[in-house]
Amino acid sequence: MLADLQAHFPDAIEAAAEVGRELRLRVSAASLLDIALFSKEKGFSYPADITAVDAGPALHVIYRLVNLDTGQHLVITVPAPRTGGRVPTLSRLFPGAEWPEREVYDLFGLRFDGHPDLRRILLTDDWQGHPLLKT
Amino acid sequence: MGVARPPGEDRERPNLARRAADLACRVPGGSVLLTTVDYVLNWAKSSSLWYLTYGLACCAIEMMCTAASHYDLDRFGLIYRGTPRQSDLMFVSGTVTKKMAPVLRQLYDQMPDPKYVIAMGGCACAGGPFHDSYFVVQGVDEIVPVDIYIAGCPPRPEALIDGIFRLQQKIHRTSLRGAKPC
Repeated sequence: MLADLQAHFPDAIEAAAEVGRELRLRVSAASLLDIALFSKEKGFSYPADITAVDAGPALHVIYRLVNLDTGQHLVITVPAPRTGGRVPTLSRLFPGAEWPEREVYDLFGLRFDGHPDLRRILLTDDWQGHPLLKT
Repeated sequence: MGVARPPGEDRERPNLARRAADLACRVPGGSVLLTTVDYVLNWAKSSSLWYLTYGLACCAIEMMCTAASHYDLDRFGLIYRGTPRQSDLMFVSGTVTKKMAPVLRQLYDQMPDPKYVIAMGGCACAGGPFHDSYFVVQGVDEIVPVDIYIAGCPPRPEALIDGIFRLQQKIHRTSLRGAKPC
């Protein structure tokens, strides 16, 4: 899978590591959609988790796609700025990604371009700020 | 208040009738039972505390366990109801987030009087492990009046049952005297 990805996206993959049955990639927000679509066609059709981490200088959005036939995991990390960051939504590829992306927006303030309904999901609508951003 | 009865008489009576006889005063030579309205009403209220099917967090698991066959809340007259309109008692069993708070208040408002609230566990009593959290109500008594607080994280079924007994004792101390007409 890694060789496949590197052949198709020679410039997009900034870092890659294979740990057991888990393939970890680091890609830019611009190439996320293409890589996700390619992975979905290769069998990684189940978005097990979408979350984010405040890594200090930047946010890391983390997508975990699972291949249900082989049991392989594909973990895609996308760096984004802490304030005003924008990442394309995966909710067109994976309808189930809509709510996890809302959660990331709610807790980190990261906006997902093209998201059909980007509202807060856990906190009340009048909440100020995003609680999981470290100060 | 019970009067002495001939030995052997109790065995033939069903349980409930025996209990009723304990509550009443029998007039010698007659079949009239004397008691107070307060006593009978409080007995009825405390013995049929139907409670709302409403769980919030891990305490709800413990509450369900208390309701299930091993601890069996039914034997105290506590029965789950699926709607606040039929409920007398609300267990606040778990963490109340600020988003849940208006819902909890609405459920409480929908319950008919007389109604009682038991705050179960540390979260419902005072925020518990989420003390000073950004999105957790620091004690459900900020939203609704609480009758009984039960500490624990979560409290064991025995503690919950003890809280119910204390609520029953509290109900027995109430009186219609001085009550305002609705």
